[in-house]
Formats: sequence, C-alpha cells, structure tokens
Amino acid sequence: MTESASHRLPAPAGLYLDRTQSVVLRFEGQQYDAYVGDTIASALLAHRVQIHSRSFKYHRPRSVLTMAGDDAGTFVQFPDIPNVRGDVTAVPDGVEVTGQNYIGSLQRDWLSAVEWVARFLPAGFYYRAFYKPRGAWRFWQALIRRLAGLGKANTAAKEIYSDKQYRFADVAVIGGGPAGMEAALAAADAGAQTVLIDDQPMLGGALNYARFDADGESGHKLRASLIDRVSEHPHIEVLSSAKCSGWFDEQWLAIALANRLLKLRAKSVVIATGSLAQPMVFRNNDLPGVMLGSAAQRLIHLFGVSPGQRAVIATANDDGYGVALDIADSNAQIVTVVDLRHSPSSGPLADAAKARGIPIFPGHTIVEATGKKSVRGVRIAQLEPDGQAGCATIEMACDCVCISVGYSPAAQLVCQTGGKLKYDDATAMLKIEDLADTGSFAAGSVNHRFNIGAVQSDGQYAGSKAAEHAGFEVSSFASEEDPLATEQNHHWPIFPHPKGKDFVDLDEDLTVKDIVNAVADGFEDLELVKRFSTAVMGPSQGRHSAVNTLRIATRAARRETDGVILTTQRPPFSPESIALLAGRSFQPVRHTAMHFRHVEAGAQMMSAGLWLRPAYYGARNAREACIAKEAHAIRTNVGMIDVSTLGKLEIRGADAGEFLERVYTFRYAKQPVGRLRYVLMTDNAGAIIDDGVACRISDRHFYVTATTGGVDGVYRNMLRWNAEWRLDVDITNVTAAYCGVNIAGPSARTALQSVVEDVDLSPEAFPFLGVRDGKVAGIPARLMRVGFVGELGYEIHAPSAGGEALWDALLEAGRDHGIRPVGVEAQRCLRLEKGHIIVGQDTDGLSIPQEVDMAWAVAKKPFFIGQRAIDAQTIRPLFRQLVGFTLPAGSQLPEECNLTLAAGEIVGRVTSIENSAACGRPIGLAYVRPEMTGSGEQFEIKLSDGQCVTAEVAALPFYDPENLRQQL
Amino acid sequence: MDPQTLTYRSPIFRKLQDLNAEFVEINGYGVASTVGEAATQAAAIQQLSLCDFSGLSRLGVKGPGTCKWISEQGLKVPVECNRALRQSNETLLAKLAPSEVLILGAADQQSVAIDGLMKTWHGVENSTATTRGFIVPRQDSHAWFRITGSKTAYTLAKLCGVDLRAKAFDNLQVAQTSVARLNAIVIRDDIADLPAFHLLADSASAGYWWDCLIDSGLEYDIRVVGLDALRASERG
Repeated sequence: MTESASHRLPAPAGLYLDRTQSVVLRFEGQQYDAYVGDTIASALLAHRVQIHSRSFKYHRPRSVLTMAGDDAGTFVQFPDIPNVRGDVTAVPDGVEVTGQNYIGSLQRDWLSAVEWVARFLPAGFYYRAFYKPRGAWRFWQALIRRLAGLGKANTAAKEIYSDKQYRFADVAVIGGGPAGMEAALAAADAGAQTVLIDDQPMLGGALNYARFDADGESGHKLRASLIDRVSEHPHIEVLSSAKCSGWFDEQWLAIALANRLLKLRAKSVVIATGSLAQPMVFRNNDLPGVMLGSAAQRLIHLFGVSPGQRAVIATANDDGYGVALDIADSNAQIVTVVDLRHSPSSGPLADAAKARGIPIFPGHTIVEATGKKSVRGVRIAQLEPDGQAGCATIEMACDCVCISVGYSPAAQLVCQTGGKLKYDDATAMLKIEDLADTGSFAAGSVNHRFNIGAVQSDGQYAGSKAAEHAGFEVSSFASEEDPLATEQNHHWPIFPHPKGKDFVDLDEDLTVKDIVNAVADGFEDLELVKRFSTAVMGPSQGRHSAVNTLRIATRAARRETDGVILTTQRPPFSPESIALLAGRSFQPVRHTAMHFRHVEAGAQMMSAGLWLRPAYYGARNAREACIAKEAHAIRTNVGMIDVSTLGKLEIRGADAGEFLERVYTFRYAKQPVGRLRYVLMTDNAGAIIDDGVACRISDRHFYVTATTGGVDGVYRNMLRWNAEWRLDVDITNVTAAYCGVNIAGPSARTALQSVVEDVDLSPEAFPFLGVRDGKVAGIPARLMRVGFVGELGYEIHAPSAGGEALWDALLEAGRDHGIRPVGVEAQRCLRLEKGHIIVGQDTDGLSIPQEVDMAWAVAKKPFFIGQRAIDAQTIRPLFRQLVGFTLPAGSQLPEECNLTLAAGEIVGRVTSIENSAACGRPIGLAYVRPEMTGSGEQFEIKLSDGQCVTAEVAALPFYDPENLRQQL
Repeated sequence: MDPQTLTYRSPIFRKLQDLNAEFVEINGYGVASTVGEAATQAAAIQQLSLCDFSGLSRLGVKGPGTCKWISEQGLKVPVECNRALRQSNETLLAKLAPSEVLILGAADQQSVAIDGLMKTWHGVENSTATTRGFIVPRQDSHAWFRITGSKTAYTLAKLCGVDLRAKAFDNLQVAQTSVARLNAIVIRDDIADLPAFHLLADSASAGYWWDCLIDSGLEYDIRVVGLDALRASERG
C-alpha cells in the first residue's frame, strides 16, 4: 500500500511534475506514490523520508544537499546499478530501490558504530596502519572494503544496449540557463548551426527555481521569453537531459544522452555551466534537513515539495532572502535568517523579507545543527570582529536548514580547455584565469556574472564571439565585469567546532581537523592535501569541498589564499557509465566466399586475425579423428583447403622486378614469366616478418601472396618503402578480391582436370612452381603449383564473388576421387611433416633466416631490406637454431611454447607440435642451441605440468625428404 | 530465382534470402529486385532504406596515366580528388586520388559501359609504356550498398566520424573514411532531392557491415529494399 505525500505543494510549484500521471516508488521495502517527473529524492522528501543514504566512512545518515546530482547524499542502489544519484534520477516505476552502504537497515545501520572510534581513524590512517605484520593488509583490505562500500555491482546484470553517435555543429553551447540561451540565440542569429546542451529536462537553468525579485515573477517571464525564442529558432537544436562530461581537443565534446554517448564536434564552444552553491562548515552540517538554499528552491519549484516546516536560513548574500521568501510562500515557517554579514544589504529580496516580518540575525552564524537522524534545531552565535563565532549560543528548533553563503564557478569544462581556476580574495571565489585560445568561451555565472542582466549580456557576448570564431559575421557585443560578483561569497564560512563533525568534504567524511592535520603532517601543497586526505576525490569531485579545502589548507600552511590555483580538473565532469563508454562495439569479422559452405559441412570455425577459417570438419569431440581423416585424404587421395585468407598483392609497373628485389630476400628480376618463387621478407633488423610466393604474370606484373595476418603490414611497408624509392611500380592489396582453394593430393590433377578448360595440367606443360591463367568451372582463375603440404597441388585463385561456385565445382569434380574438405589443423600438420615454417608461429620478432634454415632464400645481391643486419649476423655465431624433433610414439604432447632444456638450462622453446600419422609419432619444431642440431641429438622439453619428455633432433623434412610427391 | 544457381554471388545474398527477397540475374549475379511490398519499399526509400548493389558493375583504375586514359575513353574526371561526376553513359566516376578512379555502373543498366572499358584496357595490356593505369578489381574487393532517405546522415553518424549532413557534405562528394571500423568509400549521390549514398567496403566483411548498418538504422525504421524500387525512385 502506498503512503500519501504529506509535504507535496500544490501547483504551480513542481515545474517538472506531470500531476496527471502517477508512479510508485519502492524504496527499502515501502511504497510511495509519486508523479512522473519526480526524482527518487523528491518523492521521498514529499513523504518526509529523510534518510536516503549512509556516508562513506562513518555511515552517517545522509539526504539531499544540492538536488542537482552534485553530491553523494542521495546515492541509492538499483538492482543492477549502484551509486544512482537519487536527487536527479527519475522514479523508476515499480523497481526496488534501496539505500546502500549499511548493515541492518538504512534507519539502523550497525556500521554507524564506526563513528565511535572516529578519533582513531583520521584522514590517511590507512597509509600508516594495516601493513604490519607482513601480509596483514590482505585481511584488512577485505574488511575495509566491506565497511566502506559504495553500493554493489551486479556482475550478473543484464547487458543494456548503448551506442555512440557523432554530432556536428558550428557552435555548441553547454548549459541551458539564461547565459546559455542568450549565447545560443546570439550564435544562431549570426547564422551558426547551434546545439544547446542542457542537463536538465527543461531549459531555464536557475530561472526555473531561483528568485530574482520580491514577487518572484521576473525570472519566470524571462524564462518563458527565452525558451520561446530558442525553440522557434531554426538554427538551434536543443539537447535536453544531456550531460556534457568532457571537452577534448578541437572542440570535441562527450555528451551522455540516455544510453547514447554523443561525440559532438563543434567549431566553437560556449561554456555556460553556471555556478555551484557552496556549503557552510559547522558541526553536524551533514544532517538530513541541512541543504543548500538552491536545493530547497529546486524542491519547491521543480518538484513541488516543501523542504521543511520550520526553516532556518544561513546566508551571506541576498539570494538567501530569496530562499526565505520561497519557503515562506510554501506556507512553511521561517524561524530566522542568520546573516553572516554584519550589515545586510538593502536589496529588494532582503527588504521583502523584512517587510514580511521574517526574523533576521545579522552578524551571526550557525555553529551547530542538532538532531540525530535529521536536523531538530540549530545553535547560532554572534560573529566576532575576527570572523570567528562567539561562545554564547542561541538554540532554535527547526527541521530544515538552508545555506546560501556563496558560489563557485562550475568551471570543470573550462579547465579542460586549458583554463585555470585561481582563488580571488576580492570576491572570495575561484575565478577563471588564462582561458586558452581554443575557440571556447565562458559565459554567465561560471564567468563571474551574477546579476541577471550581466548574465544575459555575457551570454550574448560569448555567443557572438563563438559564432565569429566559427566563421560568421556578428554584431558587436560587449560584456563588462559584474560589480555584484564581490557580494556573493562569504570569505570564511567555516566554523570549526571543538567536538568536530564539522564536515568539509561530505563524500569522504572529512572534517576541518582532517585537513589541518594533513597540512601539519607536511602535505602543505593543495595537490598533496588532496591526495593524502582524499579531499575532493569522492563522487562529487570537490564541487562542494574544493573551495573550503583550499581556504583551510592554505590558512593552515600560513599562506595567502589569493592566487592559489585549484587542483587539476579532468574529464569526465559528470559520471559516465562503463556501458556508455563501451557503446556498441564494432568488431569486424571477415568471411571467405566459401564460409557458409564450411558451416554447412559442419566445420568448427577458428579465428585467424579478423578472418574465420575452418579448423576441421566434424564434431568437437571427434577433433583428432577429423583432422587425421583430412590429412589422410591429402596424403593418399585428394583434399581441398580454403586458402582465401592468404594475403594477395598486385605489383605492377616497369620496376616491379626491381621492387621485389628490394623488399624480399631472394632474386626476382630474372624470374621467368609463368613461374613462381618463394618470397621471404625481413625487417631492417634482419628478422623474418613475412613469406609467400611471387608469381610472374608478365615482365611488368607480379602477383604476390603474403601471410593471412601479415599482409596488411606488408602492404603498408611496401607503400612506405616505395614512397622513398619512387620506383615505377603500383602496389595494390587485392586480398579480398580473390578467393583461393588449394586442391592437393596424388589425385589432385585428375580431379581438377574435369573442370579446367584451357590449361594443360600435365607435369610437362605445367610443372611444379608454375603459374597459369585459365578458367576453372567457367570462372577466370589463376592456378599455381605449390607444395606447402608436400603433395601434388594447385592453388586456384579466382574472383571472390565466384568463390562459392568454384568450391562447389571442385567438390563435385573430386567426388569420384573421394575429395574431402580439409581444415587449417590438418594443413598445419601436413606442412609440419614437410618442415615448412609458419611465420609468426615458428619465428618471433628476432628470428633471422639463418636460425630457421632459410639461408638458402637469401640471395647475394646489391640490396634488400634487412640485408645489412643479416650480413652482420652471418659473421657471428648463432645462439639458437630451429630444428625438427620427434618424440616416442605415445608420448604426452608438449604445447607450443613449452621450454626446451639442455642439462637443466633453458635453450629454447617448442614452436610447432603435431601427432603425425605419416611419421607414426609426434613431430615438431623447436629452438635449441646450435651445437645441438645434429640428427639424433637429444634434449628435454618441459611440459606444462612440469614433467619433462626427451626429444630427439630429426632431419627435415620429416616426410618425403626428396620432395618427389609435390613434383609429380 | 535462387542466386545459388548463378556463378557470382553477393556476399550477403543469404541475408536477402532471409527477407524473402526476389532475385533477378544481372551480370551473372543474383541481385535482389524486390524485398516486400512496393509501397513499403517506396516509403522506406524516402525515410531510410538499404539496398545491396554488390551485383552491379564497378571498376577501379589506378596508377600513372589513369586520368589521361580515362579521359580518352570519353569520361569526365573531376578536377579535385574526392569528388564524383555523373557520366553521359550513366556511370558515376569518383576520383579517389590524383591517379585513381572508381567507376560505378548505373542501377538501371547492365555492365555494358564498364565491360567496354575493361575490354579496351585489356586490349593494350602488353603495351610497354604505363599509359593507362592498372585495373583495380573493385567488383570483388568491395561490397557495394546504397543507403537512401532523410535519416541517412543520422544513421551513418553512428558509424562514421565524417559529417555527412547535407549542408556539410555536398552531393557527389566522396569520403574515404572508416565506417563501423572498416575502410570505406562513401559517395553522396542524391536521388533528386533525397539524400542517398553509395557505400563500398571490404567484401569479406560485407555481412558484418550490413548488420552494422541495419542495427544503426533500426531506430529510424530502416528497411531493406530491392533494386526495382530504387530504379523506380531514380526514374522519379
């Protein structure tokens, strides 16, 4: 059963509410009725539920401080999401919401007992404790983490869909208040396509809730007028409920909009993010019911909720009187206005408050709030001439305390553009200094304009400057300093109490003493104070603690506050979910033209870079048998392998031969047309980086293959090298354009013959290492006689659009010969039997040709990439060499990268290992010392389980050492 | 007609079959001619549609002498790179680099024009001088999709960092950029006043790319359309 809201105010209060639609808030097992437009915090306060959360360290009850999502006081837990900011999060209809960071209940948290030992837990205590005896930290860490939680992440949470979208604008304006709207209008009037980004559901900013005159009408009128003009302007796009969390180079803005991260690129940016009301420091200033004056006004005007029935206002500017008037208008009692100024102004708001008989205590301050779980009263004291609170206090009962003692510019984004925030004694405020010339402009109260007229003209000025920067002609505007800037902030709204609990940073439960002690410990610099005490490092990121921390730390260090620069401000400005950053991921996958034929044939697919390749055909639990059958088919009959993933490059032009001479180690200039040759590429250090074959199609044309994973790098290298050499050659990567099928086995020729129309396949006409162009099954194709698997074989390359038809035709042609599709695993076994290396598997970043028995592929010629390094290494003794080895039949198979040992010392590693049916035992390749390469030499291989197996060096190749079969 | 009865197949023909597309033969390919009701397709073309053009003819030429040789064949080559020009034979010629062009066949034509160019080029293949560039097999290296409608820029903005809004990206302008992490060629080629783009990227990644485009367009109610509907739209 839901409870009725006892503190709900009638319309027109509650700008954000749709009172025609109700929702139910389920919080801590209770149900509360609410309206669409309510946040969790507003709905709870409408029902006078005051404890929303528990503090991080001492588990003190917490509630609304800002009603702007700028503090941790309303952190609540959703089933899947921790640390939800209850003051800005809409009531999730029917979702169970709980408090967080407690044991027992939110009302009675057993962990609040931590406060009893608070004196033993000063800031930084964990730096000096828990690390002795050795290993103790493991115990304490687990305990501390349990005690100091910030909600629970649900690792089983259902994945949500989030994505990203680029946006573009001439001018982007961040902030939908009066300065932002004026800036957007000025920029749009100049013709700039303008995007206005506002984190609230409705434009207006402070105009939506603040009071600017005695009768409270001028703000409403201005708001309506500006919104009308903005919404009707054809050049303005408004993004509401959109949070700009980061400014990056070249006016790149990160904007969170629901489940989408917008990446907005603008030519210029106006930052009109306003200012943040600041709290006052006194004992128990964190009790539920103590809030900023602006929070009380937001509750009233945006959500139609009374902040309390008996309110005390503490102020140091005229805005506090506006708060008092608003609360009085909501039929609550104003107990008193405590004005820190000895001579309150005679502005219209103060005058109106006086006229309404509101009691005022000038030259006084609050020194303590009383109450246990919420505020029940305050003690106030007169301010001495030195600004300290006097000893004599007056007690007053109240259920709400509203603070209005000053502002701090919400200038995090400005700082991200390169600007700095410097403390200014004249205004007792942080001020933007050194705004970098990036095309970003600040406007409004973030730029020290507080009078509404000054705010508007500053917005117009910034908007026109932004449009001008974006290349538009603008009328001249001017913006002048606002004299009211000096009347906003109290210079020292900090009243330490002998009994403590005078919180400076509510996120981290840091008191005045914690900051003073940090300085006393030698951490005098503000950056060090921050890191030692963790001040300003909590979820609020110093929005309400940075200024007071600066004041306290600087005074404690006996330094001047004027000119002190605030600590670094980095993105994100507001919280971003990991899901939002991850967005919709883009992971390209490449399919060969025959991909679906493999799937239909039951292939187990494996990744090869971005490609998917068939590992073997058949069930997973029959892996070994499938691979053996496939290998057997090629050794005894015929099989076909999809080799479409091989890299393919066209090298064309008068210097094609010369180009290959330079990029590969072998000779190509005199390679006959119609023949192919092995290619080996090394880098400048002489290390092997790729291999393949080069087919000479004409004097001026080579068709070159490269490894699946290496081709992109090879192509890049070729382009880069030829940019230096300027040879008459064109290099084109045609990998995707052509599919490839390797048909191999003793019956390959007869199987292929039936579908080849115009190429004589006889060994005399088309010998080993020959290349021919013709048609296969009517498809234009290039046929190459290669021997990677050591049998008579043809590699057929054809346009990829015809790949599936080619595959079907070859399968049909070989049907009578028992042809079988063969996967990568069997192919790897067959090539190992022939002792052929795979670059990247049998080589690493340091492998030189001599180490892998490839010296034969290095020609004596004037130049090739890596030649000097290889020559230099030739005169040095090798320190390792790749050898073939065998294991006794039935041995446990090592894994690739298992270590090779000699006399207990590591001498290398296994690079390839297979159980060879043709050899009747396990065979492999491994690095060993050069003196161990003789056939019959023995070495140990340390298996993954720690056991050792003895291997014996064997001559390569293991199979068909005379290479007769591939030359049939 | 089953596209598998033909020799050449679009890399995404199975996805079109899943949508009950009807196919016709063009240039030896099975090309989806209709995908659903004509009226639905016509509406989608205005709002947001995706069509597989992979079966239509295209050709690349690059290297020294390319532009001169192309001009000698009676085709107009844009002065600037990353611009395209509609040719008198209805093909669209995009200049990708100072010595590289891409020629796209028209939607309502067989491959006559491009076949003719290929034949002419091969006719002088053994010429010793480099006077005509080199053929780039764009027909097979690149899948070719056509995206149309008022929501194209928003859809592509989820995949691509280039500002493709009509006011920022001219008709017949070309972008060689990344779309869903694939190197892509994007050519704006409006149908009358309707924003429309040719999209070309790695044919081996075509299935992945198609899915990305569909996923990106779902919030704008993207529909797959056939060639007939697009031809009708182009004819006005």
